[in-house]
Amino acid sequence: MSDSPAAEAVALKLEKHGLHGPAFDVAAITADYAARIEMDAGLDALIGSDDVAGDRLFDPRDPR
Amino acid sequence: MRTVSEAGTALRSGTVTAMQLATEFVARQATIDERLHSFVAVDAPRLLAEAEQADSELGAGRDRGPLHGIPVGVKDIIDVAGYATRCGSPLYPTDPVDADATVITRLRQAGALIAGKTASHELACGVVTSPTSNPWNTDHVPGGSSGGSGAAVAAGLVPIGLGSDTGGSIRIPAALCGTVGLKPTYGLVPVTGVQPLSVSLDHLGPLGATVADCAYALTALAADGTDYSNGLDRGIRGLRFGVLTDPPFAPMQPDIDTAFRLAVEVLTTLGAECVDVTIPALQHTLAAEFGIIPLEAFECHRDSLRERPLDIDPSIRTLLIAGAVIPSRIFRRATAARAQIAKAIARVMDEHHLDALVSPTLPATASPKALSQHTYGDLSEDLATSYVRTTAPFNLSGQPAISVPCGFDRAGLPIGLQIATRAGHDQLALRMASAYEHDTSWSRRRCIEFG
Repeated sequence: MSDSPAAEAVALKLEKHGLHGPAFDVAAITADYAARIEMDAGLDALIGSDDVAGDRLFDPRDPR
Repeated sequence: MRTVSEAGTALRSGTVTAMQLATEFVARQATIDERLHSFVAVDAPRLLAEAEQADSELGAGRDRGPLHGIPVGVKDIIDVAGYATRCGSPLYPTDPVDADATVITRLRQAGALIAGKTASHELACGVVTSPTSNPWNTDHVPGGSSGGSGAAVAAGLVPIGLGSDTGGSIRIPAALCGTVGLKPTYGLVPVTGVQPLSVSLDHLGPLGATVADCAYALTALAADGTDYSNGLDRGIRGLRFGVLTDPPFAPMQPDIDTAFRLAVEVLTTLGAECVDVTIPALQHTLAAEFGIIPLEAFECHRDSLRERPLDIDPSIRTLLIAGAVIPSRIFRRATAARAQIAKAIARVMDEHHLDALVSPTLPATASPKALSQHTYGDLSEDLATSYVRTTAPFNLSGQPAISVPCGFDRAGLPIGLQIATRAGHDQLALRMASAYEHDTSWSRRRCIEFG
């Protein structure tokens, strides 16, 4: 098993979706995962730090 | 004949036939595309048969409208019966599809000829469209992902090319190749029969030699009873524009800054009121855009990722894998941020009584093919980020946005002006761009080698 919580989470997700083999470098994917988590954290300034309920999702056909 | 209007006038006066237009296209494409690679497939016999039919109808007094007899390029993510849909990827079969996408059916009903399939960046997910070249300098990229349509229109091969736009993929090649490109209001043009990338952000629309050409195309593509070419000559006196220059529109190359400021002066000279506005929420554009795309793209390509991952470009594969592994809360939060961004745009437009927002389409001109980064002073930025940060706000909001040529940099590469109106105000966006286009000469410039 991988040696960090993020790497473990990545490995579990890859396993769940049946993504195996040389195209799936867990270390590189974990680094990308971390960058995306950091990018998401930047949204705190706009929407706060909490998760969002599905009923607040945006409908681009009714933007107002 | 470079534009729909020029070709239409000649067709109806009898000085040219659709067969001659199609024959000329086939000959020029065979020569020019040895260097440009704008088309990936051309079925010449079928095109000539369509042209013969168009001439026959015109001869019998059946005129289907402005697109009658006009060759149109179709991005190779859109199904055209008899052609394979390859999406710039080895994942897709070489077998031809059986049915036309809805937009192709509508183009045929409007009398257009399908010239062939234009190059797409792999899976419509990128801004380079290799190996297609920019007609203004073949050592530079045409942009993407609708780069084949951009290059084909700029080279004068076809007056209209269809594109798709998830983060800027119509407006980016339009700006980099010096054509007009319209991303219509979300949902106005149907996507049935089109390979998706990110379903809540995908838009279909035209790239054209002129604003009027895009208007003719949109009239056929939307098929909602609106003639989008109506009122293009009404001018913009009394209309109000909000001028965007803060991040994510800054930083930008100095020549683009100069061209944009001059473009705003032109709008003012034409009687519009231009006011500087700031929309701080737009600084979160990329976090929202790239929080949404991975999960939606993974939904589209999950089987390919599992079964043939090595047939996917590594950078695109990384994005798809992200869609598999990142928590779903990232998608929900990005979508919530998208709603806030759309509201912030609407609020600023309301508060300042704006009819449109105006910005440079892109902060940089066409990059040399060998480069993967843009630099702005001390800031180094990858091409995708650089080209998407100014266009993606209007994918998130779903409102129409058009790019119209507004100058050239010192190296002779085109620069685009972006005009975004409120959702459903596509006709107004076209009218504004038309007013600007008619008062300037940028759209009439031809690249010497290909135009």
